[in-house]
Amino acid sequence: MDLFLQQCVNGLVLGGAYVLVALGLYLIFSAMHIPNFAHGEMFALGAFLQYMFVATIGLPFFVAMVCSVLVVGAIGALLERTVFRRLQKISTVAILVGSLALAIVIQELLMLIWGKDALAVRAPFEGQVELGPVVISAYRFFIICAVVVVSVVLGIVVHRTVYGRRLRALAQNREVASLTGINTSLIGSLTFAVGSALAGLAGALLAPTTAIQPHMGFQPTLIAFVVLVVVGAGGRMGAVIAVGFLIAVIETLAAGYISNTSRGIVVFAGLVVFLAVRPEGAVQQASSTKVRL
Amino acid sequence: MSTPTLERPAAQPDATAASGRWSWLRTEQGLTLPIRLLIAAVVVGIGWTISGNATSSDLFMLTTIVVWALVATSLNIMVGFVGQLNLATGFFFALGAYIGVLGTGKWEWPGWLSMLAAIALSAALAAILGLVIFRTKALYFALITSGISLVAYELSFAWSDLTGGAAGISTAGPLSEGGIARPFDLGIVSLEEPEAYFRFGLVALCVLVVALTVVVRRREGASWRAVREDDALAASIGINVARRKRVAFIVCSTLTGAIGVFYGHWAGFITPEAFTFGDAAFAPLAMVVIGGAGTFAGPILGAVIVAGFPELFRDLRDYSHLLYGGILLLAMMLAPGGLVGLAKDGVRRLARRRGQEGSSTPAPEEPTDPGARRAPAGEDLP
Repeated sequence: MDLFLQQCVNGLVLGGAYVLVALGLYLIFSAMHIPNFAHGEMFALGAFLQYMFVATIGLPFFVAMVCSVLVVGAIGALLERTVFRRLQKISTVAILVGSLALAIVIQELLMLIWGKDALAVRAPFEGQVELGPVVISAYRFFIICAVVVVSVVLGIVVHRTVYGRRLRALAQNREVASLTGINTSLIGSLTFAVGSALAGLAGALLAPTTAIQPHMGFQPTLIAFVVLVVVGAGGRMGAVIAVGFLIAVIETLAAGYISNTSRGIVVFAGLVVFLAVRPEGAVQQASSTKVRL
Repeated sequence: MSTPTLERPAAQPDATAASGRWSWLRTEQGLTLPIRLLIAAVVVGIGWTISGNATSSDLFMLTTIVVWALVATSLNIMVGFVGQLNLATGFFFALGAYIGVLGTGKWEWPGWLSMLAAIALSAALAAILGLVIFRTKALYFALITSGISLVAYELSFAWSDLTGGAAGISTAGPLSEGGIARPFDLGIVSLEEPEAYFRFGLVALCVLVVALTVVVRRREGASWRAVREDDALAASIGINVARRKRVAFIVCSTLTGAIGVFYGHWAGFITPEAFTFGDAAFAPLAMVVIGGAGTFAGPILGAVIVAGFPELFRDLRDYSHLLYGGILLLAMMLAPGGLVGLAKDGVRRLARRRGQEGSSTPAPEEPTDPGARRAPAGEDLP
């Protein structure tokens, strides 16, 4: 039982990354209808920038994190303006193939700059936290708390601010939103920046706990899409968070109790079965409420 | 050859004398069957002579291109003609390759038996999967088929008793016993030399393309294209949309499985790394889209670019993948109809200019190739 709980808590740390990446993708997909397959690369970029700011430049860990998040957000907005805006005018296939190609480009650039070998960043503080039978390093505990706090803040931003109201209007109906005077182009870029920054934050946060290498973004991208599919574009943000943590825990348990190679099979077979049963995601959308953030 | 029963909706208003000279480029009109067969024969003839003098590394590259051209051409049925973003290719390709290698290497089957087994199993699995996957649409369809390919990739690692896990498996039996790769015994012919594999693959490619040109012009192909353009409209004129999609998926998947058997024998040795999502599921889709979905030359051109690129630019080493990704991205942004679409646009523009020179009245404004623009999966995101 203790081992089970320990596994669950380890899963929650991984889940932190999945939740942030999935939330970013969820925002982008709901508001812009862009299935961005290069989204996980923003996660990788966040981790590499964190490495650069901490290990190469020597900034304090949390200052570095702010810098990484800002840079990734800016890159996200830039990509929206240059790449996705054009792809979006063409077709869904163009977005899909184009964003996968973009993912290859980013991965290769990361590899050219930082090499193929896995890099590591030191955690900013040491020590352990005991939660009943479970022992977890203080930094991992901090990750879980930080993800919950960021999710709550994002919830407030989306539901309580002017930007959030405009974002939700855009998600509901792009044409009507622009008719009411909302600058949809600006909100689009902003949303891409926020979504990418969330993935970058996940990368920067998790940098001390994982091996930083150019292909690290692929798995989070897929998981984020699994979350998106399970929740459905009409789902709620709370569900995104719950499903993100749940998938990570299931994955960790499968790795612990079946075998390490089975974790992918469990998740992807689950995706296929889920889609076969609920082909439009968990939330069946009424046509009048197209998307609800 | 008469025009097929179902024209693309925006019938070309200026298909007059001005563009008549270039009309052979259009899929709708196309060439007569004897000419198509003649072209296929010439291609086989050229390939035959080239392969006689080619160095082994050239031959390797050429065969790689042929294998992927076969896969892309099969995938084009789903992506180009039916308009479904199928990413399950990786699953059927891996299935065929493992059956082929295990059949010859472990179970001591003759090659043709492995081939039959792979075809039967692929068809059966595609039929079963076809019952559920078409409940999903657009992005969700792409995701469910990606999931299928990803499960195959993960399984090839996890089921190591059968597949040899990450270490791989060869047609010479278990690796520990060593041995040379076995020939691919197809009953009539037995493939052993690299030239033989290339020639067989090239003939198969030509047969497949010609067969496809015939099918696409007949009722089945016309229904496929009707489903691609508008499935609700297709259903309203009595096309059984679900069944047409399922048939196309079974054909596409079975072909992919059979090509997998060929690939497994040619490579002689396979590891799960040959069936990653990027290489076995996404790359074929990229080939179809770069070359031009729904055309016959497109997937082959795409295979030359995507599969040939890393080989051609081997000297660039670290930059070759970056260039591949960059070119792919630019192609998507600048030429959404693929290379063939780009060529068609260019020819049409040229023809229009000629038309304007000939007469004082300007040629009617014409939308750019609708088939290519609207390409697969439609605009409706879930």
